[in-house]
Amino acid sequence: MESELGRANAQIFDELAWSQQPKERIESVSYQLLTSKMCTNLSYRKSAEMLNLVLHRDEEDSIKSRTLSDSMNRIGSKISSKLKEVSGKVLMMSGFNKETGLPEKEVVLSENIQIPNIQAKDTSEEQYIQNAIDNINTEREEKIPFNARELEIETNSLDCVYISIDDVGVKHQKSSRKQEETKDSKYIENTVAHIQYGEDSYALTAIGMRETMKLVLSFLLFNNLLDKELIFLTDGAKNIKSHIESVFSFHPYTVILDWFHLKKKCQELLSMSLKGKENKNEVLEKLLRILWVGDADGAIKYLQNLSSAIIKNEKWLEEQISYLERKKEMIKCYAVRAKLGLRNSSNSVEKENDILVAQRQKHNGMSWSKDGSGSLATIKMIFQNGYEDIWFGQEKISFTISGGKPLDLCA
Amino acid sequence: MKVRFTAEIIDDNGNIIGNRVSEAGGIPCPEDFDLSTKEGFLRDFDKLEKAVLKARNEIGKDIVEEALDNTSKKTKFQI
Repeated sequence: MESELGRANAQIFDELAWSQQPKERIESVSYQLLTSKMCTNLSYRKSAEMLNLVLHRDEEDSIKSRTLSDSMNRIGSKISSKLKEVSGKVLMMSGFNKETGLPEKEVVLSENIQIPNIQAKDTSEEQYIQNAIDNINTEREEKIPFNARELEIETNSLDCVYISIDDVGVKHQKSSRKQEETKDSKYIENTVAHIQYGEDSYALTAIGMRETMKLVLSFLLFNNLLDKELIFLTDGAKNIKSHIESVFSFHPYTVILDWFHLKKKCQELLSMSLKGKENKNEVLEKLLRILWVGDADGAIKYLQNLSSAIIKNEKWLEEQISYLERKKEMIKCYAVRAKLGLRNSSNSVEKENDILVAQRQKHNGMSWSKDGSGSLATIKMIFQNGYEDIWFGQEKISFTISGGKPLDLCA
Repeated sequence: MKVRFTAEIIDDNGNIIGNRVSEAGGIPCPEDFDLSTKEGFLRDFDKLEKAVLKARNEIGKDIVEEALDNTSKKTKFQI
């Protein structure tokens, strides 16, 4: 028995004995909590060093880094299985297939799942938006090409759920050095989703975009959030968009291309397309000003009419234009959104990526197995959502956005 | 059920010059200790571990304070 008090011998019988692997030690709740907290922040070697120091473990009773790693993999996969089980049950109860995340054939989904229960904008709300548009238009040369009625924008953030999704890749550890075996992919992609409703938020993570999308869908179903407007904030990656289209085809949604990523992409492509630093900066500034008001067509027209004298590489300019054409639907009127205090950025998921995965698993020369990487991210997710006591004490998932009661759908 | 720790400071002549006691309760009785399932065992062991840690930390702190108190009294006397 491993505990904070030391390693103690205990005689166990029946079911309790059978639940253990040979030579596996039972770890107390406090010990699991302590080691998990340590291992999700420090390397296994440093964690073992720190634990041995703090718990005064001598050579014979010392905690080994390999044991910690095995233990974290076990805890992480247990959390993932439980999460999958809970999510599967929620999906099935609502008429979805738990493997694909799609509505079952011949199942008619209930209306409150398919149609957001939101009042249409009244005249005062429209006037409020129109005032914001007018204010911006008087201050800027680049005008907003829409009126309040044409602009798809939320007026009350409590009518919306903001979902930010992103992938974070960590180096994949080679499983074997044998030449004849198929090559492993270079990165393991952990997908992270950040769900925000009002002041509350919740983080979800899994290996693979589809798994995460299923978790997001079941989370929204369980928390009755599908009667709200869904607003996805992404970096514009094709696979994110295609998974949103596939999983949320039964429900209206809006996808917003994160302003930071749009700006970065424009900077990169224009620097390869145009001659001279001054030209690049001048065109970039103008282009971003046009995009800030959501005028993707205007931006494309502006690029098409650039003087050929300043173009260095036609191919990259065409790539820039086709990028804007591809992302047109996701480019929104950032100026009005900013004026009304609404989100333009997917920075919340970038932060979650950092906390759940990058801080521990990236930029340190380490490479990871799929289970190892996924397990640490999942354990960190429990801490990030603030229900570590519920998990380690009761092995239950708290699937509610406001940190409410734990969920036991197995009962 | 509860756990009680007793600590004594004994000088080189065998005299007890300080002692402290700490207690913590809420531990399941041996006959109530759940040994049938892992969840039950971990829950009951958690109560035991937390009580022992609480009492241990308290007694450790108290006896150190007692020892330091004795040291300062002796130092004052010598001055």
